[in-house]
Amino acid sequence: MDQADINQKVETIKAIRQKYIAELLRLKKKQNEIIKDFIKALETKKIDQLRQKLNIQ
Amino acid sequence: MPAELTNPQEQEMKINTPESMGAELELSSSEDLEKFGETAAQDIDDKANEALNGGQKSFENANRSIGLSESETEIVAQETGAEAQLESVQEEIARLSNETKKEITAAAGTKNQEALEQPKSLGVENQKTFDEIMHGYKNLVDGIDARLKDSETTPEEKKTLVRQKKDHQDKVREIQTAHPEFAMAGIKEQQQVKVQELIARIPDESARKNFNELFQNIPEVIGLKYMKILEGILGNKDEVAVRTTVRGLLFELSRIDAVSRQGLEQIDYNLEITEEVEYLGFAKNSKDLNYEPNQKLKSPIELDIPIARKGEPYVYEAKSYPRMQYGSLASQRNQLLKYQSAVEQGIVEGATVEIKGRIDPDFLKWATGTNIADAGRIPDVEIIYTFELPSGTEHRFVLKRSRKNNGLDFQNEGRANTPEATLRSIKDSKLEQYEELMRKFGSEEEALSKLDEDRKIINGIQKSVLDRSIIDIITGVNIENPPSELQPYLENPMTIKSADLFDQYESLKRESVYKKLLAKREIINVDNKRSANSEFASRDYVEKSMREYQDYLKQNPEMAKIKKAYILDSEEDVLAAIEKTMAAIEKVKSFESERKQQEDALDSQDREKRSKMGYSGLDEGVALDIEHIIIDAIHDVNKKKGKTGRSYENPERFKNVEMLGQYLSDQDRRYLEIAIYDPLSEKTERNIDVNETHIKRTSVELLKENIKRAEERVQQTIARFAELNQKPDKTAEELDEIKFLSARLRAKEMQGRNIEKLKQRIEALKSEKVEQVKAEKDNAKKKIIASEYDDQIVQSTDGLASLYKEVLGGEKEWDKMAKRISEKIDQNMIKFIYAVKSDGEIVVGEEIIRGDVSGRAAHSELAQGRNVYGAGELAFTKDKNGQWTLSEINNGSGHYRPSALTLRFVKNLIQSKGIDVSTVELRDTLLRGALIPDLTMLEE
Repeated sequence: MDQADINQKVETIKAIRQKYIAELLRLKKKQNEIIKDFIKALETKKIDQLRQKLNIQ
Repeated sequence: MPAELTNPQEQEMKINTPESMGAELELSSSEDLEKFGETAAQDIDDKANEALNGGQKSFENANRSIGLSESETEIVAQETGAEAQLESVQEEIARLSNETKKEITAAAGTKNQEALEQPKSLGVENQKTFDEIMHGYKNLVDGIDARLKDSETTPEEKKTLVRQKKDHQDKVREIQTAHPEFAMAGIKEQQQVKVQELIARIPDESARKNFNELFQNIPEVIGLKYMKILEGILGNKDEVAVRTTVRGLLFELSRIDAVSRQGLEQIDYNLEITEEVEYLGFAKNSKDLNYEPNQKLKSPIELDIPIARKGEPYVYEAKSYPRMQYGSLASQRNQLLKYQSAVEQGIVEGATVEIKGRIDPDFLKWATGTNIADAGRIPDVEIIYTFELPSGTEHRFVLKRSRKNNGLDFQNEGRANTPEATLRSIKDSKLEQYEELMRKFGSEEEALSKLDEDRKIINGIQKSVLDRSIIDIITGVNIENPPSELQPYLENPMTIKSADLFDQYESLKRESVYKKLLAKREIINVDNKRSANSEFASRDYVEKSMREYQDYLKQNPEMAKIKKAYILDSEEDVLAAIEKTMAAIEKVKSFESERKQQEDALDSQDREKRSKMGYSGLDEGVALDIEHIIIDAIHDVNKKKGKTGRSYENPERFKNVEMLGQYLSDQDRRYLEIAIYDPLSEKTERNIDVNETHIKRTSVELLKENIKRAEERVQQTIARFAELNQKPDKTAEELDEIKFLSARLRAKEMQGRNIEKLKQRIEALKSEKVEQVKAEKDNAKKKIIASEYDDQIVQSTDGLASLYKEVLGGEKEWDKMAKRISEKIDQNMIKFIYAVKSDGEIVVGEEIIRGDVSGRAAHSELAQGRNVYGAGELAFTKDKNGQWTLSEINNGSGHYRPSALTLRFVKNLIQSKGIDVSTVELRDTLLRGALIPDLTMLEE
């Protein structure tokens, strides 16, 4: 394996890594969206509960 | 937004931050490239984990600042689908990362590519994720548990919580099943630490050991459950309670172990019953259970030991009740009613409860019914009882069958026909158990005597199961002469607080039960209790016994090996055997009732004759038990092609005793058998059914072998002498040995010449023999010459042996190594079995006895299954003058088991038929405990 080959491979690996990071970022965003929605749902539920409590009292 | 939630912008920045990833690095070799690849792959892993863990944490922490309860959080997570969505994204991240890693490794051409593809190296990271997920669920469940215990939680909430808990647990199980490799590893790690801690806290040592062993054998996933239970038990302050509950847990574990070891049933931990079962039960806490259950109840079934039959659940419960009586509480009976109902509704395939310890007698009557035709209240639930035998091993038997005959498939392992064989089998296959026996009883001899007691007790169990007395025996506790410290607790052992006292109570209780079971084993038939004329002569009883016996053979495979002739292969055969039994019972019954009428009406001559001859038993004689009619029928159904089975028909195929004089006149039954003992291996070899020539040849061979051994011993003496002489410091013992050895060597010096001379003479005789035989033309003469030489050779060899005897130090030393014929049976005997019929006729059938080979009809065939006034064996021996004389009359009939009191009557009756009885011996074969020739289903 000569130097050119090695350099070529290093570039390939870097490219794979870049692609991966982009993909991962996308998925992380998706994950965060899910969590954000979840938190929203939890908050809604909490508010509902409080509202019910106030109504009853 | 909670602080913990990671900012996506931040994460993006992190990913794009230049890192020491080799961008500026100048790589110059393929090794470097490989390293670079590895670092890159590792980097991917790190990033993936960061993303996965970060996401998981944020998700778990989402509720922190909001403050909903955990169960509410869980509901929202499920209802909005957030949980499922998160899971799917996480899966996508994991997949993407793995694939990228593979791509990188491929590109770097690293040699580790293969390793990376293996789950192991990926596993370390996935394991973390897995463990975290498990941990998360555990927290959720713990939270629910805390709220369930909370007194402020309303019943309505509790219901929801229980459902949620179950959902969590299902989820956990699902994930564990999907990733067994992580499940094992994770649990194993936790277990190793915790289990050892917990086990060390078990107070009683043997239980500690057992627990450890059994625990290793169950799947790790299930181990967790038992660990929790153990933890709970050990927290109890009542030491007896700890001891008994640990035993209960051990019992359940040992059942799981047995099922998986025997492989007769399938355990499936994924099995679950989703529907709740509706049934009629007893009102909660009702004390009086003597009413028809009438409460509408509904509850789920928890499978303790989840057995699958064709994928469908089969309930199997193990109950250990050393103190309390099982079945006395409404809740316990309700559980069984629930199972009964579940079977009826087709929710489960069947149900078995295995009990060890005390049982409420009323419960058993309730469960099994009180007469033969009554199926009891839970006809489809099988009850197995585990009985602890004197040797400490267990015997399991069916106390109550299920109506569909589809009970648990199990075996009593390693229990053979004789104690010796049992011990051998334990030694061969379960060394640990063998060692335990040795520890407990000190010697093989003592262990054998315990195993023999086991055998008798198992026999007693079988009999008590047949006549239903087993229930009273195992439920009634009747400790005779209890020590004073136990007195106050006999009525209610629940109140015993000291563990030692409780052990004492248990052991006394066992002794009392053993005593009753041993009494059951009494083999003399005195009351004709189960004859063809008794209440047992019903189809129900016959069928029940037939099936029980077949199950017994299945459950005791060692026993089945020697009772092959009694194993029915198909349901068709079972039905045929039942038919045959019923037909035979009918015939015997009608004959006997007619005979009784006649004997009662006329002042019977037969009866008068009998009493004149000294008969003192029951007027009706000795009747055949139904069990024996059953086994005769089974035997007949199983008859092999070309062989006759057992039949009560064609009695003309037998002789009567009057014919024997004529028959014996031209018979010869000389039988020779020798036993050869080898002191080196301490083994005895039997040569059965041999002749004089064989014995002569064997003696010569032994002589040769012994001379060879003697020579070896002389060589050893020389070597040992030299060895000891060289030793600088000699002990007193060694000095004695030297003295002995030098005396041997001196004797060798003295006899050396004579030995050589004799050896030469033997060689000379041998070659002379060959020459002389060669020279002779006549074959008959050849033989004579050869035999003359042989005699001389044997004589000289004998001389050689006595010289060696002297050299070795006399008879005693010689016997230490010489093989010899230790026993010689030389008899000319002929045996018949006999049965005395009601009219005084004595029917006989010849017994073939040649070593291990024996064969004959059964006593029941001689008497056509009818009552007899005596049965057993007659032995005739040929004296020196070639005359046959009657030498023994015994009562050896396993079928009829007549008392020895009949023997005198039989003797008189035989004499009246013109047979000389002046030298006869009467022997009680049955009570002497000698081998009973016809083993039956009741005798081992």
